[in-house]
Amino acid sequence: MRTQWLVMDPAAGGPPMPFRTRVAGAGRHLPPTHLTTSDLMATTRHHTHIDLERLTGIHERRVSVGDEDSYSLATSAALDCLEKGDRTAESIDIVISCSITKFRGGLTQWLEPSMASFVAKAIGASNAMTFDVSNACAGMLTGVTVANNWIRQGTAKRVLVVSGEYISQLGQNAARHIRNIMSKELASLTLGDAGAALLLERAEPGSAGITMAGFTTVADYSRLCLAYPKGREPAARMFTDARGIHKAAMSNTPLLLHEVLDAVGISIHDIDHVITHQTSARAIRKGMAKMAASFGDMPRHDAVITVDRYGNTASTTHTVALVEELEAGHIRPGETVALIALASGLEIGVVLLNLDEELVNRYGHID
Amino acid sequence: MGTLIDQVCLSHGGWRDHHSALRIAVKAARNCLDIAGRHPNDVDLLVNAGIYRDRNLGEPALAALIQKDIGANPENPHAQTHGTFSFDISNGTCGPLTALQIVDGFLKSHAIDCALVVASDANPGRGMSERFPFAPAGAAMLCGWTDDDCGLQRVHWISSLDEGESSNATVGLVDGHNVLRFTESDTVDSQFAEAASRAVDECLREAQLEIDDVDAIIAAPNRFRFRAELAMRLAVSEDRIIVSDNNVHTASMAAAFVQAADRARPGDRILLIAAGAGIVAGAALYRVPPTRVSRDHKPVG
Repeated sequence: MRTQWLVMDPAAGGPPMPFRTRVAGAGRHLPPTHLTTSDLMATTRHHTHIDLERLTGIHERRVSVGDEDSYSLATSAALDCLEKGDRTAESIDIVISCSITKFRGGLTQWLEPSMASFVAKAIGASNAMTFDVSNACAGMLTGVTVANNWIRQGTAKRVLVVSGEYISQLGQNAARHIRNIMSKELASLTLGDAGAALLLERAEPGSAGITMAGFTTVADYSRLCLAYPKGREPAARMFTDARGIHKAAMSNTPLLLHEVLDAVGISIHDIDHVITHQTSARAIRKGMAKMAASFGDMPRHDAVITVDRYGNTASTTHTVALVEELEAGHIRPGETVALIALASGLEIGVVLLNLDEELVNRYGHID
Repeated sequence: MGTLIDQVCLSHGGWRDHHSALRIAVKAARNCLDIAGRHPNDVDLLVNAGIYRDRNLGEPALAALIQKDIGANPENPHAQTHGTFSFDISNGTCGPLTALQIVDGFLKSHAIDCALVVASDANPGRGMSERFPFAPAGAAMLCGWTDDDCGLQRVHWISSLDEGESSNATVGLVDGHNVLRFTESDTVDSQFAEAASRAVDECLREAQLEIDDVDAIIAAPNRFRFRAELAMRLAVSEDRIIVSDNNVHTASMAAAFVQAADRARPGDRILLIAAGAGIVAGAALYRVPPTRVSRDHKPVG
C-alpha cells in the first residue's frame, strides 16, 4: 500500500520514464479594463460596511466588459504562449482547457463540445486531441499534472494547457445580494478575468522542467464552495465558506508540502519562488507564516502576490503570476518554483518546476 | 501491459434521484466497489467524465462530491497512508475513453494502484433544461494495472473540429432563466461515424490488425443511425457493433463494455470506439485478461 497521501508523479519506486517535461512557454491575456475594489463596492445594492480592500489586499482586478469571454481570453493567452515559446500551433499534440467558466458568445456556457476544441480550432491546432479538465481553481495545475504524466512516458510530445476565466460576472451578481461581511458570496467580489496558457513539451531526462506534481482532494470540505446558475441572474452565483476553506487549507498544506519536499529530497529553503493560488494577499501572507512555523525556515523569496492587481482569476492565477515574475526578471534559469494549488474540493496540489535559460530569456531578461 | 477494467457497474435514476447525476454516480461507484470487494479508501484516483449534473454545478468538480459521498479518504491528510485525488474531465461521449487514458498514464507510472472512472448524466433540475434528451444513468469502472500482455492499449484520437455545428449543449438565459439547451444537425451521425472510422483505421493500422481480427466492437454514443453509418464505414454488419440499450450519454461506453465483457473470452480483443461533439473520436483495443470482469453488474436503480 502506498504510504504517501498525495498522488505524486514521479512516484516513489515507479519505473524510470524516458522523458522530462519542459515548460516551453507561458502566456497570459488580461482584459484592459481595470475595476477597482472601491468602484465594485459602490455597486452593492445594500450598504455593506465592508472594507474589502483592507480585508483582501485587492486594489483592483481586470474585467471583461462583455467584449471578451472565456473562449477569447483563452485563445489570446494561447497565442501569446505560442509566441513566447516560439512554437507553432500545428506542432501541438493535445490541448487541455481547464477553466471553470466556459462562456462563449457572451454569457452562454458551452457544455459540449469541449472548450479545448474551440481553442484548438481558433489557434490552428486542428489535429490536436482535445478535452477539458474541471477542477475549480486547481484546473490548470491538474491539467499540467496530466500533461506531465503523458509527456514523461512518451504518450505526447507537446501539450497546451490553457484556461480562460470570464468570471467577474459572479462578482456583479454577488454585489446585488451581499449585506454584510458574513455573506457567503463575499469571495465572489474578489474575482477577476484572465486568460492563461502553458506550453509543455518533451525534453531529455536531466534537463530543466517539472520535478514533481502531487495532488490530493480533501473531500470532507467539498461542499464549502459551490457555484452554479441560480435564479434570473446571468452566469452563476458562488457560495463560499471562506473561513472554513482557509482553515482547512492552512492546517493541511504544510504536511503535504513536507511530503513533496521529502520525495524530491530538498528543503523548504531550496525553493526559490512560491506561487500560491491568489485569493487574498492577507491569506497568502498568513499561509507563508504558517509554513515558516512548520518548517522552521522559509523559501528564498517572499510568496508572489498578484492578487492586489488582478484579483482572484480562478484557475489562471498561477500562470498569470508566473508570467508576471518572468516579465519582471525575478525568476532566473534553474531556480525552483513551487506552484501551490488550493481550490474548492478541497483540492491541494504542488507542482515543482524549474525553467531553462531558453524560456527565461524569451521574457527579455538575459544575465 | 495496460489498464485493466476490473469491474463495471451501471446505475439508473429512480423517482428520488432522476435529477441528481451525483446520486446516480455514487450508486454506481458504491456498487462497483462492493462487487469488486474493494474499500472506497483503496481508490487513489477518481475521474468523473459525466457532464449534465445537479443544478448545472460549475464548482467544485463533481468528482470531489462523489469522493466524499462514497467515503474515499475524505478526511484530513495523515501520515503512513494514501489519500484520493479526484477531478472532472469533459469530452462528451468520448469522456470515459479520455478518462481511461488518463488513468492508464498514472497507473503505468505507478503514481496510483487503483482508479475509479465514473460518468453520469441527469436532467439538472425542473425548469433548468429544455427537452433533456438522455435517460438518467451512470456508470463506474474500477481500474487496476497489469504487467501482462492485456488490458487497454494505446488510444487513438481524431479531431474534425466544427465549433459545435454538428452537436452542442449550452446553458444560457432564456426568458430570465438559465436553461440547458441542445442542438444537433441532421448530419451529426454520419460526421461522428466518419471521425470514428478514421480513429479505428489508425488504431488497427498501428496494431497491424484487420477489423475481422477484433472479437467485439463497442461504440458510444448509442445512436442507431451512428451505428449504421459506422458499420457501413467499417464494412461490418450492424449487429457486430455493440451499443448500450438505453438512451444514456456519457455512461454509454461503459454500458456497451458490460455487454461485450459478458460474451468475451480470455485473450479476446475488444475494440472501444467513441465519438462526440467537437467533433472528436477515439478508438482503442482492449485485450481481455485471463480473469475478466465480473458478470454481476446488473444496473442498480
